[in-house]
Amino acid sequence: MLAGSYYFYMCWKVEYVFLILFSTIIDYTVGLQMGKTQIKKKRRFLLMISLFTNLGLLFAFKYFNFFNQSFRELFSQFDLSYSVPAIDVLLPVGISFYTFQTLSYSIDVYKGGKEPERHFGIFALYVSFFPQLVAGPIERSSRLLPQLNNLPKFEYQNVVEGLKKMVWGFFMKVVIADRLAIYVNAVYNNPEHHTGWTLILATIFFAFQIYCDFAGYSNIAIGAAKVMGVDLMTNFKRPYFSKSISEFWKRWHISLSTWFRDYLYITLGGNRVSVPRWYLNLFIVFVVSGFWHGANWTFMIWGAVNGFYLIFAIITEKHRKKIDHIMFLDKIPRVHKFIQILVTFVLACFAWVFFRANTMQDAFVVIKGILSFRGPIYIGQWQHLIYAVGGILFLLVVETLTEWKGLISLPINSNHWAIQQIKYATIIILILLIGVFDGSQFIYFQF
Amino acid sequence: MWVKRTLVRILLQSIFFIVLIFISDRFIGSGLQTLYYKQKTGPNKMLTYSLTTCNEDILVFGNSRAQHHYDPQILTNTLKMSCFNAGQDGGHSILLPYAQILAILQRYKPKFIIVEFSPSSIYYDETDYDKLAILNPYYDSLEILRPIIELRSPFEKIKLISDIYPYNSQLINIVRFDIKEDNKTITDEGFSPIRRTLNCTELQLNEISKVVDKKVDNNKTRAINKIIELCNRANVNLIFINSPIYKYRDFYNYVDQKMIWKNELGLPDSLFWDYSSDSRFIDSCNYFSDPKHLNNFGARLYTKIISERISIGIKFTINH
Repeated sequence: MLAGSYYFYMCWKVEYVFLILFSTIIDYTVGLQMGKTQIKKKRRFLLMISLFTNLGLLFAFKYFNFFNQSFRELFSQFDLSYSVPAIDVLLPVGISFYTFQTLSYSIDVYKGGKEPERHFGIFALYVSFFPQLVAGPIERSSRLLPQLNNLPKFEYQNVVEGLKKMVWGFFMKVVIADRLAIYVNAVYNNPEHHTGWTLILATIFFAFQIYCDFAGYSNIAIGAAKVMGVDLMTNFKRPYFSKSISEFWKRWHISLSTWFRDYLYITLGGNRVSVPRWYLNLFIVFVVSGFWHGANWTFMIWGAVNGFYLIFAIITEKHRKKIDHIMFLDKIPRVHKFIQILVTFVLACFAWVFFRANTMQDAFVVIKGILSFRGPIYIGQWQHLIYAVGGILFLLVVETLTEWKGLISLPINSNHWAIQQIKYATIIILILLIGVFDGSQFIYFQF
Repeated sequence: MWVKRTLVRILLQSIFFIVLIFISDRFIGSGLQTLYYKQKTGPNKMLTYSLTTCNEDILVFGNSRAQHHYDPQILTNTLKMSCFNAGQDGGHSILLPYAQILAILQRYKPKFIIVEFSPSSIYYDETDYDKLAILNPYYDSLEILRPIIELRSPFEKIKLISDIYPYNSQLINIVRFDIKEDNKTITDEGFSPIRRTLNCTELQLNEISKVVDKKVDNNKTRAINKIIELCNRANVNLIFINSPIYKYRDFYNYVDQKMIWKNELGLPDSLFWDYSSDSRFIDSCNYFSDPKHLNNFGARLYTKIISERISIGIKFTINH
């Protein structure tokens, strides 16, 4: 499995396997050394080695050129010369993911919550486990290492469940995400040429595109791991059914949000500090989270917008409850819930504008266009639109049935093996019939 | 005993699933194939006609610029020969005309072949291979096209084991053109005239970035050379033509198309007519529907010019 994982990584770019090997050796050694000593100063020093090495590599490959360019522009504003050259390197696939995964190990060992892994091969597999290597979920050592130490024998049920998840993941990616991408790319790559309603539609499409792309990959990763008897954590829980931004972040990219909660938010003091400091902690976590996604101001602003949403929600909680009471919304819980879901979705979509826009300028063009609420909707090839809307509706039906499984009982929900087989055969047929098989990539591979 | 029963159950359920997929794929694929070939009009019908049935004397190949720019009626009237426009909308590369010519020359020998071609398109572009999906429905019936179709991806052969996959993303079009005839946007001779005029006052042309570090696509150069070789062998007159562009400099960024033809492709000038900077068309809004496509008015004038040039007896010589 280790050889397979390394071969998998080498298929992209052979030389970069040394990077992941280097991180592995450093953190394995650091972990072992931390396990040998109880001296806090020494343990902290070892942790710093791990942090500096891993974050240093991440900075060099992912963020150096961004900061370099930003400084260059700043210096040029004051007519000062700046001659630091850019580094001409490709971003290693998955570096943001495996760096955070291996850092979580070092931090857990430092805190004393985890015994260091003694078997180098097992540890190397923990870092490079191929299903989740390039785009998560970001696993914790306390969950994954025990499983890798105790891999089960072949279990038919694991294989079936794993394959089902993979098929559904492919469907989300190939039928829904890639189809939506055709329209989204046409609009977002030329936002100044499109009307307000077109930009609104493209933004809504992007909300589903990124969800299906990322959750689709997560399902494929989780399914592939399940086939091998390894349980990876759930990464998405139908986030667009969230009733608040706070709930959204408990359902979206769960492995990353919990990572930031445990290793940054709590380290900064969490909510056990003064109220202004608490808000600042939230804001910092979201800005850093945005920055993790990419070396561009658009990602930082996306993170900041989400941070602002959360802080605003906390500040206005009492007032919103009063408004709900005045408008009798608390008396009609279903309607209230629907409104909450709708409002949360709209807020998420507004933030996605920054995530998707190529530049800050484009983001403002999109927002300005959206707020005009004008113009005919760009149709393009209407067949694509039909497939795209059909895909979203199909997804919503499936997710509604899953979200309210107990309340909605249909024959299709049955666990009978024949019904399950017909369900998944239908999904495979739909993939062949309306999937997009052009050369598109997973969005989160670029992180 | 329990283990044996479980293994048997697993085996039976697995076989059931595989058979279910296989039967569904064959059944639905067969239905789609029937519907595909039953289309009354539309681009698929024209493509099928060009690959399997056409027998006209003059054939025109290329992308949307071929389909919208060459009026077969004018070529027929001037040259007194039947003509079919086998151009296909969709920004296709030279690989599609190559496939069409390969299939056609197996069946018969036309008198003239015109290939609408822009030398700037010989550089590698991944999307050109994605567009080869248009040929997937013919993978089984036209074996000669298989090497071209398989250029799309190393896994194309495997995907084409499925009977449904060749009709991927085609369902709506198939049903649409089966149910009703198209409102004649494409004539029976394959020509698709555009009946609107470019609004020059509102036009915003995007700046085309300089072609830097682009690699010549060997598959495309091979395709061009094969087209020349096949036509030479079959004694078919052949010409590559680059039809007019609204603003030459904005699309080609001052790169001389004849220079690419000569220097990058190493082909003789006699095989290539470049009308992309023709003064009769350049900067003339009335002749264009958009910066890259002539409208009906411009197409008629352009086809007349081409037909007259052919008709005054300029011989096509194929020199290697």
